[in-house]
Amino acid sequence: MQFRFHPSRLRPHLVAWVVICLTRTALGAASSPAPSAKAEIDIQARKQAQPWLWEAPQAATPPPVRDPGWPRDAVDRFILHRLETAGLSPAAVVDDRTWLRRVSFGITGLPPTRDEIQEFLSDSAPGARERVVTRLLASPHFGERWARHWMDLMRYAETRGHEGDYAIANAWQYRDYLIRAFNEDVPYDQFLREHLAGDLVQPPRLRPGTRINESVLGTGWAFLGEENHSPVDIRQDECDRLDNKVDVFTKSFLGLTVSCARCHDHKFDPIRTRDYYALTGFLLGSSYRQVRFETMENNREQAGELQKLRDAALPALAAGIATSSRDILPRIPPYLTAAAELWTPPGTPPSSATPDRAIPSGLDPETLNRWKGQLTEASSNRVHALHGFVRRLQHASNEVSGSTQDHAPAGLRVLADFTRPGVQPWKADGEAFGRGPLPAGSLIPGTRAEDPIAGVLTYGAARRDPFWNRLANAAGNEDDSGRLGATARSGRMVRTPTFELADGHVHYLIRGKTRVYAAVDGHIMLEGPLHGVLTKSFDTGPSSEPRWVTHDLSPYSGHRTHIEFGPDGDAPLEILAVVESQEVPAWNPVAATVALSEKATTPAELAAEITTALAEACDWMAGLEASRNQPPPSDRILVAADWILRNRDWLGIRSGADVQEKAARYFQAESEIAARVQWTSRTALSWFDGTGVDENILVRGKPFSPGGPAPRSLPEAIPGARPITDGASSGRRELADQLTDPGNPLVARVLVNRVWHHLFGRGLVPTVDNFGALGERPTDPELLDYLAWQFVHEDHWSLKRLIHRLVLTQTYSMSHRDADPRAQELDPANHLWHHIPVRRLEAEAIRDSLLTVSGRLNPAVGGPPVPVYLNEFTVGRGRPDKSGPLDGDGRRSLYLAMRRNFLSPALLAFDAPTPFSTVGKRNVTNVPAQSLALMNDPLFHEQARVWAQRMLRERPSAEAAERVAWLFESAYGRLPTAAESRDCLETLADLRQLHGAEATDAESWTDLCHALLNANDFIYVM
Amino acid sequence: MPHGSPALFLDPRINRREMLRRASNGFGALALGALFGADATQSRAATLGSTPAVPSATPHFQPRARSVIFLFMEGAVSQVDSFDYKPMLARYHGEDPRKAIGKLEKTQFENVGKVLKSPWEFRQYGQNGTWVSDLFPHVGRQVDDLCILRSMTSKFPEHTSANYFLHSGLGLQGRPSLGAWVTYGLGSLNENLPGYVVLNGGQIPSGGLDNFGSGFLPATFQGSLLNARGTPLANVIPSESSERLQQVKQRLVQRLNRQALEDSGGADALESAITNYELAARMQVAIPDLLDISGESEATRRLYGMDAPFEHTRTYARQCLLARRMVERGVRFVELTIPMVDGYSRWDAHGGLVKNHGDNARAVDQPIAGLLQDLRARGLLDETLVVWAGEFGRTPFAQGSDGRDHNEYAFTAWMAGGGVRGGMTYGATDDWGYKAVSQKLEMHDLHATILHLLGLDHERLTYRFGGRDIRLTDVRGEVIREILA
Repeated sequence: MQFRFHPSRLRPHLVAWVVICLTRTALGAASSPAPSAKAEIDIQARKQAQPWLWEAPQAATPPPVRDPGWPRDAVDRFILHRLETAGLSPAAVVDDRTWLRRVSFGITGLPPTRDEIQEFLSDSAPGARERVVTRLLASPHFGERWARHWMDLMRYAETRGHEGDYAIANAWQYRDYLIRAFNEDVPYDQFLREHLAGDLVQPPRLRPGTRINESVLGTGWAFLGEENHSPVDIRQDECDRLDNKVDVFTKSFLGLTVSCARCHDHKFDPIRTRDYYALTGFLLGSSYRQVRFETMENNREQAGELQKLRDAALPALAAGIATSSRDILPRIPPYLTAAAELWTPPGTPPSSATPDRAIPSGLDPETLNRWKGQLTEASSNRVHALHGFVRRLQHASNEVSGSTQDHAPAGLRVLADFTRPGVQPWKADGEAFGRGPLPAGSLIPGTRAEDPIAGVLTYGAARRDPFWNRLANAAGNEDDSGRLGATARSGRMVRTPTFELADGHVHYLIRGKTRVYAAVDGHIMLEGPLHGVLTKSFDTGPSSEPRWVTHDLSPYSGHRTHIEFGPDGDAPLEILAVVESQEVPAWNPVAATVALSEKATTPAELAAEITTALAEACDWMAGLEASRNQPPPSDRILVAADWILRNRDWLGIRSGADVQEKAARYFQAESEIAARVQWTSRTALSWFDGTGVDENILVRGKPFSPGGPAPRSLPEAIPGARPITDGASSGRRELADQLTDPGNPLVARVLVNRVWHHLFGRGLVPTVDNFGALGERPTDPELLDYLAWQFVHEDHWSLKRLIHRLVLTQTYSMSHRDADPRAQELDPANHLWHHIPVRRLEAEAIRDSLLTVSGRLNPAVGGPPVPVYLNEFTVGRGRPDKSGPLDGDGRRSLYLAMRRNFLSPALLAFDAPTPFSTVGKRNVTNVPAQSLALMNDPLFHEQARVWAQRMLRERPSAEAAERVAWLFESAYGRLPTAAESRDCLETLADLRQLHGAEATDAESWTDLCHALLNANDFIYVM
Repeated sequence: MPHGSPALFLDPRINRREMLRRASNGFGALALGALFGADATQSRAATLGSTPAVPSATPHFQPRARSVIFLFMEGAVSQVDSFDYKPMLARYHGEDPRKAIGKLEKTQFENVGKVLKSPWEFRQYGQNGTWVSDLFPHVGRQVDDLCILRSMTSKFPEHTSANYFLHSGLGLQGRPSLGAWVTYGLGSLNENLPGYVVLNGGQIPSGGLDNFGSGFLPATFQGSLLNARGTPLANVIPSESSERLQQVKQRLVQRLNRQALEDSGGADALESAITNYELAARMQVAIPDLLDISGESEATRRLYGMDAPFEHTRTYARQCLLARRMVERGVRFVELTIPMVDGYSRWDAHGGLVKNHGDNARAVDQPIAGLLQDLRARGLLDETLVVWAGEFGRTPFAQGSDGRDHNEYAFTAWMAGGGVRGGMTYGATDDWGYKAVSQKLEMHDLHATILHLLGLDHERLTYRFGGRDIRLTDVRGEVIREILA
């Protein structure tokens, strides 16, 4: 790297100043604690209320049992031990059909097909149940089932609710990520790490057989929440969104409720207000983006190749050009002298114009005109190599107004400085801005073999590399809604550190065109009448001179923000600095021109000095190849070198054949890299890592009442929680490390408990999202700890192994009927697990089961959501234009569009949760809307017809009784009893009579099918 | 109280009472009391052992009101053009509000115009000479029944958050709505109808159906949306071509269900589901019966304005009449959304105040007055609390030239019947109607008072969710004692 400045001239501690101090200074923070702050709670004392919870689970030996024949797994010994101690016996084991239906729904959320039932029943070899479990866990439908469970925790939705119900662009990519992760059995610690820092883990997990980055998709959960339409106070709005994220984070991953500590220390748990704000820091240091997850890894690699190629090729090419350039140097003085004498400065009144003089002999008039043109251009362009020359001609001093200053004047609030590398952490999404700011003196590659070097960067800047201009989003990929969508900054954005706006007068020193997004308070839903000013386009015109442009953010004085610079079409863009000041800054870090000595006075003397500078520039270029470490060139050399390169054509500088050949090879290699670049990509929700932000405690949760500091950390009560001080990053990677440490007492317990809850109908800790003091105590703490330890240390965080062992336990195969009549008296709540409760299927499982039974199920996995089926009850603002199909194309329910304001009424009736925060345990209600749906929802009638037709097709000549048996087996997984068969046949006879002779028999069978779908056997699992 | 025929599809071979007795956790009380409420949940709790305890469906103390009719004026009615008369606005009309009023708070659109006097005349009504504008001449004549709250405030100047706040006490999606809390606390009085019904006039509020949601409360308590026009309730119209056909099918369903119940050894979940199925069947009768207003007299219809020339008056008249029929039948909480008056965004008069408020008021004024009179005439007003409110107020200065922007610092609500004092006003705004200054009320106070009138202590009506005992009123709310009759 080439530094334009001598290191000693760097402002001391600027790095630390920008990164740390700025972001630490809370919004108008008082340095003293808040006046009303009470003494904080005593963490250690609080932990004593539940000492077991705050220690990592230990390896345990399963307890002894009196009946050694019953247990099939260590888990059963825990259960049986407690039953025996209580003097109770476990329920009988269910028959194979009941077990198969239970385990099929449990693992895949789908009923067993008739073929699967037959296969299982005819498998009489030992291990038949295990073979079923292995098959189910290998099914792609396993991932769908468990992804849906996880989506409940992440309040998954595809729109933002509120006024317009705007889309959350490409949210479904997160859903599909979950499905794949569960199907591939990604270890839970890795899965969790990806949720917290999937954008930061190195190396990322790739989709097998591809270069697609899976890890980064895990971070999408952070952006699945509601977003308010045009809130007046976006800081308050941010605080509410942070609350929601903290709530989801702590309930889902830790089984703790921390969000109530937003306003006061937790009433019962060892959680302080400070712990709440310590978590918000991680969120504040991260921003939103649509990540090019499909192509980012490949393109990063190609960018590396491109960098290597350029590092190797460009200096040699520059050296070659320098050699040719030397040849024309002698021709410069006569031309420049003549041009100076003949030139009429623009704006000169005609009367005082220099009278035409003869062109000196030997000079080409055309070329001379070019020189005169250069002088005209230089007269108004401060960064032109000849600007100083022109000024001297006009008897002005060398000093250019607002002359070059390497450093910002004291007192100027510099928020980002890209004129030198390393001033602040480099935060660029994608490759379009390279790996850091380009230092002054960087060679700018050209675009054709005749012109391999386009120029020299005469100032340091974050520069958009036109190589990447072809980046595009894949067809069908969604843009962000509102004004953010227009910024098109995916994979071509560079941002500043996070800072707090003082008076809000922000100025950017840039050249070219850009669309800027000021991420004030992380507000991303730029819809509605307010906050349009947060995105703004800037264009400094065709001049080669960087200019200050002003972004008036004064309405947000006192708010936190960072600035994102994105592209505007294919226009060039260089960003030098971001400052905040009342006035447009006088600071000008741009090397202006070739300064000339005071001794030179005549045009000829001045021209000679220019020629000397050009010769020095040639020397410098020629030396680039030999030594990468030569001292940084002076401003005059940079300006001169850049001028030579930009004016080669008319100056008549012709590269030698060797240079041309090298150039051709360079462009060949570049085009080979370009061919390997993946230009189009789909995008997905993702965190983008920013700079460290530590929040202050906000007194009573009020956004503008900062109290004491709350450095980023897990809640202090958690063993191993250490404050994270990285100023150059959000700190989420360290957070993920701490969270997934096997010593963490909560993570594994919470997860195994969730799995138990889903399989057994109730968690070992029934309040699955709250292990704290207000949650319920574990019914079997030893078993919980045993499972948690095994999960981490034996099964290496494998969900499939955990589920595999749990469903093969004797406990799982217990009937819902108590064997022991005293069980209902001694333990009516079934805390001891003497039976497995009857359970109603979840909303999605009911619909999926309906489609499976009718034969309509479309087993495709993943993909964009199926539009909502609209009826006269799905109404309100933001209603989609078109209704989706009644049967949702036969897709499983988790693929139906999850529009917050248009959730499926039928799914809601069966207790699908409203996606507002973590719901680890759904309600199970019993409301008439459910029965009414079974009776009259058109989907049930339609599918009853499809099912009846399927039966008639597959059993064309069977007796009615045999058909009834066929229907029972498909819908309920069992055969009818004699009484049930009789009832069905009797009903069939009545139906035939009611329909009359002219109706087809299919009508009656359809009605019978519909009735069977209405029975409890269909929606309950025994 | 009209009922659908009970146990319509019960097989006579089995005595239902006997079955109930056999079940370990009988839910016989269900049919008598909280139809969709407490008992069903408790029996489920016993099955799964994990659902939080539900308060008994009895009030905490002697209730004043049995039912609530909530007339939600979505979009925000301007207080200074309706019930909060401010002569100062006429005096300073057209002047710079920053000079006349002083420092202004930020507004949603930040397009502050001049001080804007009300385009409507105000008149004095009733025994106390209460000022009401010409927007509400019919309601004005009922002023002796109204308790006008002039010092209401919200916290959000944006519709969705404010709607959630008004409905659920929090400006975010996902909390139970007031109607859900009430039904959760008290259950329903009618075994054939939901406890919380939203009568949809056409305008679904910002924030969508979640304004009427049950949040973390069981779905049992969510508002059932009943369309005033078109199909009234999802899936309530039988799909079968004949009643007999449905009966034959349901007979089979019930037989299968009973066998499954017996096989299960009387699992509560299955038993509750059977009852639920029967209730749903009865609703297919009860809802059409509720909606069939052919028995209402011509005078009653005219009283509500069902013969009005303005289409939207007729719609709202039908809603108000249905609301009366519902409280007659014991529905706990009826909420009315306003009709979709052509081309307007609710009461949200950012521009064109005269036409917006004029048309919206024309739609609701006579029906509301008719409802109050009809309830009184039938002796229902004493036990029915009528609440009229929007989500916030509007600015006393113009947005642009002829609109008013959102204003969370003051708005007017009123209550009538159900144990509140009529003919009174409570609280006051400043001279401009800009900010509540005297006896300032929060949304939580309104909620606490409504619950109080229903016999519920807002501090004791809680639900354990995510480790906290959550209240409708969060940690705030004071019953407005002065307005209790």
